[in-house]
Amino acid sequence: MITTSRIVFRPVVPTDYPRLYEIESDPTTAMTWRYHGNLPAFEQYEPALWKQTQQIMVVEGRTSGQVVGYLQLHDVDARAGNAWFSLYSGPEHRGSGLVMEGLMAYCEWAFGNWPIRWLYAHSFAQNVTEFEHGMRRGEAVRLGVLRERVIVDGEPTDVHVIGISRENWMASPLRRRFNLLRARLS
Amino acid sequence: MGTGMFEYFALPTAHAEALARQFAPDLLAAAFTGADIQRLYYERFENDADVFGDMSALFEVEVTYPEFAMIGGRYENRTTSVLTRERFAAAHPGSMQ
Repeated sequence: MITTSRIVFRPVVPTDYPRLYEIESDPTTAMTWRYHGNLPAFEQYEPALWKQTQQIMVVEGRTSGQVVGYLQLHDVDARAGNAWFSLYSGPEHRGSGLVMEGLMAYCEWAFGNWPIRWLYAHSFAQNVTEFEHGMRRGEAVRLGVLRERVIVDGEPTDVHVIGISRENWMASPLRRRFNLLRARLS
Repeated sequence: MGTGMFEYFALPTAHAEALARQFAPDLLAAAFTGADIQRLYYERFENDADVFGDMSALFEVEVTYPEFAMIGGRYENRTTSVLTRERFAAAHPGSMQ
């Protein structure tokens, strides 16, 4: 568990599933997520949620106690030292920065607990602005763009491939600041 | 129209790799003819054998994963490349009929 002034970052528990399901059901983004609009019924949700997934961590608002989003670690290749992550934000919390703060906690947790050199994520063109700050600062890099990779709402949509390397994260000023603020809190 | 992944391997012998290069145009034409796809993706490590020959130039690299995995004691990049239906058809007119 990682606590900051605004969030609690912790492993998922089964009582979180209804909230995760609610987040994934949001119609404005359901088409862009992994189910492409075909979210399974809640009774079949748990195995679908954990498919190819090693761990799920939720981001909880510290004052509200509400799960504002979650991050998945999936498709870990321990031999190659890489893995993928997915990031989900509740619609009412997008733009608040809470889940992106969760991503900092996630990097700290993932690189601290897994033998991973690289974390990768796919981001649809309409969501990639969330990563732009990190790419400008250098914690994240755009590894490429898969042009017109998927159809979203009937339109061909680009998929950006984002990478975060252990080396960059460990050396980043953002990480130092994040941990400094955590230390002050405790 | 959708997309597809093209997985194409040859035994690690000069003869097998030459055969792969020879038949690559026909197999790519078959892929575009047999499936309703607009874009065909191919993934490779940087030191993988060339199985496409002249076709390689038609693929465009869209993503490079630096030092993706250790192979033979050194890290190699992995790339995802794409061949579009239009690009293939322009280079091989008449091959998809």
